[in-house]
Amino acid sequence: MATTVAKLNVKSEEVEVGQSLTRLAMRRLRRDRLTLVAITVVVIMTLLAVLAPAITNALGVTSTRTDPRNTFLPPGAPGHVLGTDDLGRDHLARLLYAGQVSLSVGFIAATLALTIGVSLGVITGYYGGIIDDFITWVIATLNSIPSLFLLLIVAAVLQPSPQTLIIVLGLLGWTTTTRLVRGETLSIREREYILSARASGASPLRIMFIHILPNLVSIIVITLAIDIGSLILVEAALSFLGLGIKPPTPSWGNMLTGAQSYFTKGAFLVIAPGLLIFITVLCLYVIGDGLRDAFDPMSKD
Amino acid sequence: MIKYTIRRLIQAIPTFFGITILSYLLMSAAPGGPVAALTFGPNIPQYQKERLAAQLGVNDPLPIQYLRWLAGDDWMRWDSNGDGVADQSFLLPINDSSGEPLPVGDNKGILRGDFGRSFFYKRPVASMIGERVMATLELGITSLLLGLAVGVPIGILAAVRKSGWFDNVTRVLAVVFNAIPVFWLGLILILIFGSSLHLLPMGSRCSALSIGGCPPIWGRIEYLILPTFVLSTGAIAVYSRYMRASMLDVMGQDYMRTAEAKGLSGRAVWFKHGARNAMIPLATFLGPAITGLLSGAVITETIFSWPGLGRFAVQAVVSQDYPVVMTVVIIGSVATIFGYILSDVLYAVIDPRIRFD
Repeated sequence: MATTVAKLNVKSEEVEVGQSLTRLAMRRLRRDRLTLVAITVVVIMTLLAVLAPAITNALGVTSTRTDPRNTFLPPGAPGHVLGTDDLGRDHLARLLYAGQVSLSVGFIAATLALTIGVSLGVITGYYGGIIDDFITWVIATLNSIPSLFLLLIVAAVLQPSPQTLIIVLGLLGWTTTTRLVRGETLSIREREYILSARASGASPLRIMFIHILPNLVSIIVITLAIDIGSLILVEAALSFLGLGIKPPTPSWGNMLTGAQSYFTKGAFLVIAPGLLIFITVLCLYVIGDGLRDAFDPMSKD
Repeated sequence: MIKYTIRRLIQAIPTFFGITILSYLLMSAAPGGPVAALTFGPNIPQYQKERLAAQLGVNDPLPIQYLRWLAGDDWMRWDSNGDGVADQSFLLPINDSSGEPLPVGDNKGILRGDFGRSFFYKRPVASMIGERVMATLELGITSLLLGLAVGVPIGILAAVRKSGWFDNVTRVLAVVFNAIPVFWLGLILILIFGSSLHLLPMGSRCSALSIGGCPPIWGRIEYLILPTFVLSTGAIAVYSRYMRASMLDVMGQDYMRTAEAKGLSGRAVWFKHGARNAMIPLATFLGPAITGLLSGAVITETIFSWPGLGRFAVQAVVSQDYPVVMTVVIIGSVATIFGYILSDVLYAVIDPRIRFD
């Protein structure tokens, strides 16, 4: 809202321009060390995953070449920085490529879920009526099925690839966002400036995009950070159970599928993938919390 | 209150049908469908496949298939004169395409508790579920109780000493335990306590040597420790945070200040006046707790080879045993719906400020 006001003022004459909420939040964020560390860690993880081909080339290893004579090499073994797995594949290369899959599934699925969630939330909140009733019913229904059970059916039917998994997670993960956004839209809809926009002939689409959506920025960025984290966890759990990403494509989850059978030979193989999931998700949750504090209009500078 | 309960039950009916429609549609989208799952192998002749397809009704229109799964087909095609051949039908054809009479419908439908037969074990799903449901309840209830027993006191203490070291430590721990992949935590604990230290069993519900099933629960506590802990971490994190918020809310109330002004000791104020009121909103958490525990049970049971519904569901998905998957999903959803209703009613009963209209 503050942004709109500021723009109007500037046009008429030179007035002291107020700080927009987003700019305020950015300023607070720059002083929040914990959140900055978390952001850095996530950026590093993403870079490592993106640069996986370059890194493995430089080290002269691949994620696919098996070597039956050199299985379960410990970390630090010559030629294999983090050792090898049960088939003699380079563990570091596997972790990097798995990161590509796990992170992209989390990022894209969360973006998809968020897009659906925000659109439906704004539409149901703005129009109300029968659309609202229908979507509310769909949400009640989806929330009554334990989430993992719903994914079990889908896994039974689809035998998912990374692409289908992204679509499925996106299509099932929007309900919480919709409820949040719907509630927020309901309250924004009643404000005077919406009435004034309507009176000056703005179309519903324009009101939703120009007048309502900018007010949802804080909800959107907070939800995105937390959703990416929880979807990475869901993907990992599904892949671990053998129902998500299927080998030979590595994901942090499916690298742990057979872990119980090689506890004694390679404890590191059990620890590393889970630790990466944990650190990534933890950082995303910390970022979500940090954003919430930064966007909180009640918090003081 | 009875009126309120009935209204909530009626409201749950559309949700229930939504769940059945959604899961049925998803299942019927499976490539090949049940015929492919049942007739695996090159030696099965085509006419047998067609016969099976007609028997299972996979070529009937989708709404009729759904109705048949929901309400059974013993009233859709039946034998009225007792000669063993179907002679009456409703909604369904009597004969197949070659004019052969089709068998009498013998499925009662899920509404009457008939969940069909497992493709894999060829046994009624309902009785197989019955054999496993106790294991899941045992794990779920102990985890829920542990979650409450640990989470609630943590939340109260964190609120009473707000911003103190205890509050900060538990806040960090709550985020940490939310971010740990449950299955990995389980694996690490098995690695430490089972594989390395040999302190606790690595899985299963009781010793494989037990004769005539597992002994009563107090005879095999060591088998429960790890899975219960793993399953309850999420509940502990959620309950402690929620209890803290609720307690802080209560501590700002006027009656708390009154109690303090009367000269009651801090402990009496916090626990007698504060905590008891702060616990009321926890009643609303029963519904979400059931979904969380069921989803968690799928993973926990698989890691610890716990013979419950969750592990059964995963095995069924792997072996494409559709009737079993559907049944577990429906049962889990119905449990969740009842959990939500129960928590709403419970909330209204406990909190006298809420009226039933």
